[in-house]
Amino acid sequence: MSHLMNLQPNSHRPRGRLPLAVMFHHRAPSLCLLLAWLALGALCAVAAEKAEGEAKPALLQAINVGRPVRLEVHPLAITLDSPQRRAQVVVTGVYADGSVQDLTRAATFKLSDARVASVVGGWLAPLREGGTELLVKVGGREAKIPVGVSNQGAAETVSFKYGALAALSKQGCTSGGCHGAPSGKGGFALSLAAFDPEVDKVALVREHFNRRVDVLEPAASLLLRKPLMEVAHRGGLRLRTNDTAYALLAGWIGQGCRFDREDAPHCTGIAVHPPTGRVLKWPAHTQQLQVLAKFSDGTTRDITRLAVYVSSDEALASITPEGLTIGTGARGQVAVSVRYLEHVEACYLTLVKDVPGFRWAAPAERNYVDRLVNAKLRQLQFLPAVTCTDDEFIRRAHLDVIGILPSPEETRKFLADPAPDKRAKLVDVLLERPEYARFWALKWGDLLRLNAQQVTAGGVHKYHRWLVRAFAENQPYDAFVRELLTAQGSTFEQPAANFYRTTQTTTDTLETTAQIFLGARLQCAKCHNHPYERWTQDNYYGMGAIFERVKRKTTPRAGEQLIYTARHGEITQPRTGKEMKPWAPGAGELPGAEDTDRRAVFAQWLTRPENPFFARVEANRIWAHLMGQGIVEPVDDFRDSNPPANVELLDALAKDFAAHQFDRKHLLRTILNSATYQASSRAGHFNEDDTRNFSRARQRLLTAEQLLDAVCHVTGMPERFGNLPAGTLATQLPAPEPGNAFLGVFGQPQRISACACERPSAPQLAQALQLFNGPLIHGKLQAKDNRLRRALAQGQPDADIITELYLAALCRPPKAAELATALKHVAAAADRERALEDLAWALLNLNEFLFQH
Amino acid sequence: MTRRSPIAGCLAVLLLAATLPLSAADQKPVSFRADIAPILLAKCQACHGEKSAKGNYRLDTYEALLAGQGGGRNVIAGKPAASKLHQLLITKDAADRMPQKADPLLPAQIDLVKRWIEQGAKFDGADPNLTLAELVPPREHAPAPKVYAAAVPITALAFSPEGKELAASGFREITLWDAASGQLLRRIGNVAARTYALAWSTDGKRLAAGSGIPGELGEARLFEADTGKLLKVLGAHGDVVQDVKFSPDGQFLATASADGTIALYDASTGARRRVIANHAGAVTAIAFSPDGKRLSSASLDKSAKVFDLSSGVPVSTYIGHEAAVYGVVFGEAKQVFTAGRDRKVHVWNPDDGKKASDIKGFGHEVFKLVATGDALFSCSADGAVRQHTLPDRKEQRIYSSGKEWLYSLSVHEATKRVAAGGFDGQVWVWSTADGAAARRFVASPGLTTAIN
Repeated sequence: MSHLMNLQPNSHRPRGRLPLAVMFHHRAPSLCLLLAWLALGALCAVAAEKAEGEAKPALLQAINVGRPVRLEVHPLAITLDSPQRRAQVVVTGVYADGSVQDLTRAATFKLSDARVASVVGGWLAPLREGGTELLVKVGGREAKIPVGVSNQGAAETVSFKYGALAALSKQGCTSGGCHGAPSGKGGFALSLAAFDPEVDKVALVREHFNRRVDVLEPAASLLLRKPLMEVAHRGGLRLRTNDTAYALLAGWIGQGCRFDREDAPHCTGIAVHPPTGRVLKWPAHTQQLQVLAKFSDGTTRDITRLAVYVSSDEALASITPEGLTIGTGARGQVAVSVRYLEHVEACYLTLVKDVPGFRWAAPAERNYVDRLVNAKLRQLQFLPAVTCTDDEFIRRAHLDVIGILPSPEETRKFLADPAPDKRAKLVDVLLERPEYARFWALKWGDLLRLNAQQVTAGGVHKYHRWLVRAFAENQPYDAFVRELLTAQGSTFEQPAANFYRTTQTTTDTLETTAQIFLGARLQCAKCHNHPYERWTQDNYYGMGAIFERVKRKTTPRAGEQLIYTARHGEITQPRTGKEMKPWAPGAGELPGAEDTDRRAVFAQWLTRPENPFFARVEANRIWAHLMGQGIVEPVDDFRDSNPPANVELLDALAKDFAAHQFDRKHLLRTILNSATYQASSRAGHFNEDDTRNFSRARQRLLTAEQLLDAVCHVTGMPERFGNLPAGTLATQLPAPEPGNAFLGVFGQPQRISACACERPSAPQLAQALQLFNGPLIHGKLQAKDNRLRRALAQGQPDADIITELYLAALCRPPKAAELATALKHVAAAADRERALEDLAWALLNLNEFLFQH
Repeated sequence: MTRRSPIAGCLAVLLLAATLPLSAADQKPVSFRADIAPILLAKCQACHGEKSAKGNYRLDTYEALLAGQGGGRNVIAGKPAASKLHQLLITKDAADRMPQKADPLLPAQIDLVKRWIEQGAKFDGADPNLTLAELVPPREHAPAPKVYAAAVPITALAFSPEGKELAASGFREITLWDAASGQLLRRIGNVAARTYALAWSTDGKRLAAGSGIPGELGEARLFEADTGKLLKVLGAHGDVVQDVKFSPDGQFLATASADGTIALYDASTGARRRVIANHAGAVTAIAFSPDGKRLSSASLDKSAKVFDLSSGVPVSTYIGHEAAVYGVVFGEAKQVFTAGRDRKVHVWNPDDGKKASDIKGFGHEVFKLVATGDALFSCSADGAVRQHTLPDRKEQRIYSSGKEWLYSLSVHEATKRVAAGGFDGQVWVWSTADGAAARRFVASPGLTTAIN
């Protein structure tokens, strides 16, 4: 029964006993248990994957200072030119081997004139005007930086936006779960992440009869007393009087709740120290950050305690409100997203650790993929898995490239082939098979939402044929995308124009385009600036301007639509009422004459080889398809706070892809021929903790369509789909097949959105029921002319029939013990036919069959 | 910069008492009402009150303090060491110690609790089910600043019955101004920080102020208008009083609070007759019906209601605003007028809550309404006071302040004056005879500049 429990790597035990009871009712239990046990020997790693995302408590390890060769102190000089100014110092030790370590926590700080400023843990505050030096000592080394204190006479005016609103953001008041929610909380609504200061001005000062601020007695302001919990606050304790935010808010109120003048300096960006990409070696898995805001008047300001920090992976590291990153002891790469109002920067840290007994060993590198994957694995001290067996390879390559399993004959031939380059040859053959184009059309059908409801039953076939053609001809990806995005005319005659039929509004079109081709989920920015990312509402409607002139109209022909672009029509940003110019990320406003099709300008920009998004997104999608997980994951969620697992690898793939004229087959071939792709899926001691660095193949349940085709293949009983021609496979369907329970249960998407998330990966109880006792499997097993009964009719001996079933389902002959068990079971049974049927059923319920591995 | 809050002041007094030599203090009985309740109110109730009951425990009444989660062990008379209330104040374990995530109580405060339990944990108030806020003796509010450092928004205005004086909300006080000249006449102190409503008795002898400390306290204070002598402190709401009204016959006083409740008091004795807790949000305004039998209310819960005062039962609920409601008045012929965030005045029937018509044309939200029989006055955040004739609801006149948010409004028919108070701290007085601006002044003593 263990194979049931292991239906999915992350499944939990309480799947219940109901399915087992059902199973035993119909089938011989001893056989399936024994087979499962035997098969599991070959697939012992199914359950070995560790639960991801479990945060461990952050513990501050003592710093092993050692002997740095020198100290680097950042910044190089400190100026505190108002009583409110503070500064964070970051001390880095540089060691003989070139490694670095954050020593800020371990250093001692001393000011040569302690009357001028105070310093605690590298955090400086001014005391009185003057100049002095900060002396830093640690690990037997010293460094000095100058400190100047001026303008201490009068308090600085607290900026509404950069002080008060930043403070409210820092304390979480403006977050989506609190007062930043669309209707606020407790009758008090602020704009999400302070993106709309005009709304916040009213809410803070005027609304509810000036109830929230008390200019004459700032400390009595409700705005402060609530988060301090001096009076009841549903949101709990969110502020302390010694917080930077408290001083700013109280100061802003005490100065009369002034709003910023139109011509006041504005923030132009933030800078984070250390620069992104630092490698931290255990036990030095902590890093103090220092953040500067740059203003339009040339000034800078230390905002280390005002920036908002978010870790991309709490299982790797957490961040204190003061900007101290604390690793959990796990190895990997973490992104700290640093936000100050609408400004966002990410700081990537690689956390490495010496693993006892680790000695590098890897299969021979075949190409740059292996070189870059191995470099990362070596750095993080994970060992790549050994190369998979030939039977594993033929199975996995078939499923990935053409979606279906090889015939027993093909498998026999491949396994027997002594040629050393037979894997590469198989890859070449598979890429030229007609099933390749149809299988990848299925994948793109999900993204482009090919379904009969949206483009009519006839339209789906035309659109589908267009897609199949693109893959069959191996149309370069850039040409494919340009054709799609600039399509116009009748959806019958120009099937690509259906892109604008499935995305029926400007906002839908821009969101879909961004998600598929830029890997960006822009939806948030429709109503407000993205709370965690750099996307603003202006950006959203700027992209909208590209598609605003696309028009759709029906024609007298039933089911036809005409897609065309109007000469006029502008989109306005709903909050500001401003008319938006066409805009693309990284490019800014798109140039182009008034009467050109803006889509063409955009498509040209998008598909340029040097476009930072275009090649990377598709290369990552192809990688994810083959490896079961993207370098960026999810594949349509590229953002600063979701770092690629291996930047160098993604860059190299994208570069290679663009350099080869966006030839998808070239990229597929490169990956398929790598040792990385051909790694075993079994975990070992030195890579069982790795879930993100591709040290081994990722086991995964076949997709709904793959599984249905595989069941049909093993039983030799093809499925018929509606009016589609006989022989059409599930992996070749133009559109979701309504009413097919099996496909539905295993997660065939309905293609309502372009989101990759529409294809669920979580296991379902209903799946187990389908496999044990579902009508589809049951019917095919009992069919009079299925594979095993045909073999029986031909008079084949048991051993041949059993071997054939193993080859069909698992792409390998049975092992001696498996064959012996199976033969014994059949021999002992009163009903030979029934016993063989049991065997086939048991094979269909093995993880080794259900999973790609 | 930090001034001591009124609570801190109280605590300081308590603290002094507690640091007297032990022998003397021992003999002095500890009062729940005067000594313990203020501590619980200031330090515990934010987490263990009506709005938030951490650990399912409330101590906003004496009854609740004793009952609750402790299985009878919260307070064991005579045995502080066995009483959870005391244990949790002194435990060394930070995970258990109360108040959580805050400094411990001062030793003198803990000592008060200890001695109160030792002395039998007795209740010395009127009703053990009264909320602590209602139970504690009225506070002595800190004095108003002699000269204001900045202007404060004018949230309440009221002409005296004979029309010579104009009372205005101040900071911890009420200020009285000559309606004709705009000169400051006198100041009435011992008022909570912010005042949101003012009402004169018909004889002009008493002045009621609806005031409070946001999020903490709401009360109405009744003063002798000429002398500023405090006559009565009415109630203690859990949040500021947003409106206060005398009944037409002068017998009753009603208060509306941001805590969502309405209370009715006997105007001469100060006794509370009724509490109506029916709204789901702050009650922003109330109005008596001309016959005094009904009370209408406006609320941030986006509804307006009419209550029968003899029973306290709602007669009708009006939900047509679909946004916060700020102002309400009764018309003469079975009509209620309400105004709010939707920038409209709605006219509806008090019997069934059905809408009759509405008045549009406002440029921003509408705050207060005043009806004078043949006219309806309103003030809005668009900077204007509008006068509509009744019953035809035609806009008769606009009195414009420019673009200032006008929070408060008062009309005096005999002297033909209308006054409005702005966010910027200014009071405008116009003539209703010709619409001309008669006077404008900053109603913050010692200041002449408004908030800009």
